Amino acid sequence: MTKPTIRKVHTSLQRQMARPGGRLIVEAESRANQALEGQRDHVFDLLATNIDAIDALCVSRPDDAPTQIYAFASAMVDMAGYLDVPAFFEAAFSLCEIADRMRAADAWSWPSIEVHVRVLRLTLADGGKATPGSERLLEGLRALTAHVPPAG
Amino acid sequence: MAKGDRVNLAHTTVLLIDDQPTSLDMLGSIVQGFGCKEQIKCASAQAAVELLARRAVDLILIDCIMPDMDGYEFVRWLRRDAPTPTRYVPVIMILGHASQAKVQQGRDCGASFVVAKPLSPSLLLKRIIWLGAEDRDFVEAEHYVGPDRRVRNYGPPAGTDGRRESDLSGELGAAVEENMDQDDIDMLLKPMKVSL
Repeated sequence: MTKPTIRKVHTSLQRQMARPGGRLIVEAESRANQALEGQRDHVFDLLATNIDAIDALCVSRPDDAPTQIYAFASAMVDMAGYLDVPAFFEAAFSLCEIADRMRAADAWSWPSIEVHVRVLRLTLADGGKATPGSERLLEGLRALTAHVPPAG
Repeated sequence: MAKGDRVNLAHTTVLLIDDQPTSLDMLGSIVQGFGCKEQIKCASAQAAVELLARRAVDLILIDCIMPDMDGYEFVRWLRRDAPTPTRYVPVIMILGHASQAKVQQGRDCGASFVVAKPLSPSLLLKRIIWLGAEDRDFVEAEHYVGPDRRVRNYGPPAGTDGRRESDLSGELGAAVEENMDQDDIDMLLKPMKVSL
């Protein structure tokens, strides 16, 4: 076994960030938030398209539907993860989790997917916000997921 | 951080890697808001490998889960096989949902940070500022290459005031005991109910 080595590294990022100037942190955050806000409507359209695609898979039920559904759900998590849409994010994440668990356990349940689709539509229509109503819906999804043992 | 603190990314080139075009654009918007000098977008880790052979960047933000070469494999390549100084570039991995199998693979890949979505610009900027300020050692061992993971347990250097008994040594040596098995490690990390 070769002996581990430890070295001090001063990165170019450290050198550059140590230079004077730049912008106020509050300003940098505000500009980033504004830039994201400008994409919000477009991203909401894409999220709705993904929900439609999953809905269509629930009807046609092809053999590779579990893989496709996981991919659509994962794409929604990726996009929603940059927006302030906590209820929608949790619903999309829950769909990823339950699809992953059901694939691994070879215990696919279409009703569980269909319930997720309905919750995704409702929370998206509500702007993705966390509300008492969305919390009740998410409680239902958590209970569904708890019934399937974790993968791995 | 105080309200009047500044962050200077005006000289920084950031490499963004994500196979989802919309997520890549959103990440690009955030980085642009931070005032980075330049951002380079790659739609695959393989494209990033080719790019890094030609030019240097200062920071890498990469999605963990991608087809073909994923974020974990990319970071392992970067830390072990990329030319110096590119192999030392700070990497923030961004995690959406990872299947259990991927989470296992992701351990110890050598990223500077793994941040889970939902991810706000504020949190991402905090991580970048930390990377710009920290002096973290770089470890090269047989089974791990990357920033020192013991950063929280290191404490002040030996021989100086303020070291705690539990602080770890900066010296790495050969293991003197058998490795713990995964069940033992899981038990150490698992929250347990106790009666008081």
